[in-house]
Amino acid sequence: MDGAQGDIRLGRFIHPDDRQSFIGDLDQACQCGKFLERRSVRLVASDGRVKKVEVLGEPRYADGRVNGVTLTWKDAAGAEETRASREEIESLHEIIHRFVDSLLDPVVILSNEARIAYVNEPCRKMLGYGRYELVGKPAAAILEKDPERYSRAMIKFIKSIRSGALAGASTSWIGKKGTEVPVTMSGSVIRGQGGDLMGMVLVGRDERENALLKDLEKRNDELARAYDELRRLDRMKDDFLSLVGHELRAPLANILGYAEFLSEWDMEAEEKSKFIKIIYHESQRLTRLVNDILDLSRMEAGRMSYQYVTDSINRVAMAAADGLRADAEKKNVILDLSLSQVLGKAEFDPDRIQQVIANVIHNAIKFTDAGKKVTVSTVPVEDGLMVSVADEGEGIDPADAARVFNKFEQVGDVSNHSKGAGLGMPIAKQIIEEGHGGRMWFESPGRGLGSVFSFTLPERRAMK
Amino acid sequence: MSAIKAVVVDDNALIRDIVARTLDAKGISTAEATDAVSGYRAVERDSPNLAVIDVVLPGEVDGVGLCKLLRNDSRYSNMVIVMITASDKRREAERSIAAGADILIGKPFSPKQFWYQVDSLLKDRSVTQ
Repeated sequence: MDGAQGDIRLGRFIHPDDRQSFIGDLDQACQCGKFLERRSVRLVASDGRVKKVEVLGEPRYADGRVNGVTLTWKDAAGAEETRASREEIESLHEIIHRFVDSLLDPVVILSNEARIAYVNEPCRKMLGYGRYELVGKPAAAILEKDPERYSRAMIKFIKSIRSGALAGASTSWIGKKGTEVPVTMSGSVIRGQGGDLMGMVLVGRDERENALLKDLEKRNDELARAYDELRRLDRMKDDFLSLVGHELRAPLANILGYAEFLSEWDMEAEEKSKFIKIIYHESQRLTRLVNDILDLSRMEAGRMSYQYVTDSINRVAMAAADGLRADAEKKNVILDLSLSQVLGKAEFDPDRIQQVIANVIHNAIKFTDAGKKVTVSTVPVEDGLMVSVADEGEGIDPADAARVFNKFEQVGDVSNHSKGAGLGMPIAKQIIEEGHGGRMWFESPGRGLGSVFSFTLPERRAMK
Repeated sequence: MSAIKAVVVDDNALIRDIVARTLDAKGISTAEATDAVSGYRAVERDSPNLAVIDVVLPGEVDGVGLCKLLRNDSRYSNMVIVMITASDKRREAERSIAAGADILIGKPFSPKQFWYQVDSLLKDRSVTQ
């Protein structure tokens, strides 16, 4: 192709949009002796079809100067198609890698020779390997250390290749430092279009994390439960405090009222004496309550002290009953004693045990109607002695049974507050069980059928 | 002044006695009741100028319920209603005042102080002439 002549003839075949720039490039190649490299240009055939070609231009020399350019061209469509599909494949490859890397579970891709072709980021992290350290190594490098388990895993693996999938096999993968990581492994076989084996994808679930997660969930549940329980206790404590406040204010109100009458009013000696008796009685009630509260707080703090001596339980039971005989007579309740004559002396804190028995008798009288009976009995039992107080009173609803010994819960509604704060039973149980290693319980067939409160003192303190 | 009548409703006999004695000393005749039902009957019977009611009463209706019942009855709209309680006063105050009580007095109270407060309420209502 020579000079400007060639330009004009050539120009007819070049797409009008490309014509000027191509001829410009060609002129430059002619003048400066430059090669044209893979210059893409559109040609127009005589039938009007547009074809894209790649042109290579090589300058031709004569007498030391450029006298022309040899052009060779080839169909560019095929090359571009190839380049495009190569780019597409590369980008697809990239997407797949990124996708596999973005999975949270460790993934291993094996070749058809069971060599590692790819491991994703979580897998490298889990096993402690760098990016390319594992590629090309046999699958066995990470799959199993123990030969027996390795062969079992391989059998499973081979079976899975045949069946095409492996689901949820418990195994362990080996880290770089030889540590075994428990995993649940699933996998599937990759086959080509013709059905030939290309490799396998293995997905492992790190059971350490799973175990940690389960543990966390469990702890979370436990915390939620503890929180609910604390809230319940907090409410109970509030109720308890308001109950105690109510119980303290009631006798105080009576004392304050009558004391003011006595100090401010003139009155007959008989009335005066009546008011003094009321104040005395209410002060005793207040004292009992304050002592109960102090006992409870001592028990809570673990500062309850006991003076163990060798004494007769029958003597203590009689003393407790005698202290309440006046109350029983006032209410016309029969107070009966049935004491074992074969019981010897035992070792316990007589003041505390008398407090317990008196408390139980006091309750029994309180809930027993006139004409009915309260019986205090002592009997030897296999591992010591047992004291029981049976009444023919209201009895206890089985639904309320669990609450009897709970210091924060008062059986019945708030309108029964005048019957006492109900601290006696929790204190009694604590004295028997914590202070003496015995056991305290009650039996009641239900409301209206009476109840029996009993406690045992064990042999080790119940010595003859 | 002899026309003034009162009803005290409390299941605690000693508190009823203290209130009755305090009011009697000021020339106010006082009827006693132990629960809301008998308290309501006593009010219907005596049409008192003053009702002293404990917040906590045994039975279906408590003191606050009785207070509401009386306050919503046009026959007793001018009656002074004094609530008393041994429970936490701050807890009960809102309920009592919402029910129409004129005042809530916490136990323990001095009879003298009790009278001082009741007397000023009665005077506000122009009950004492």
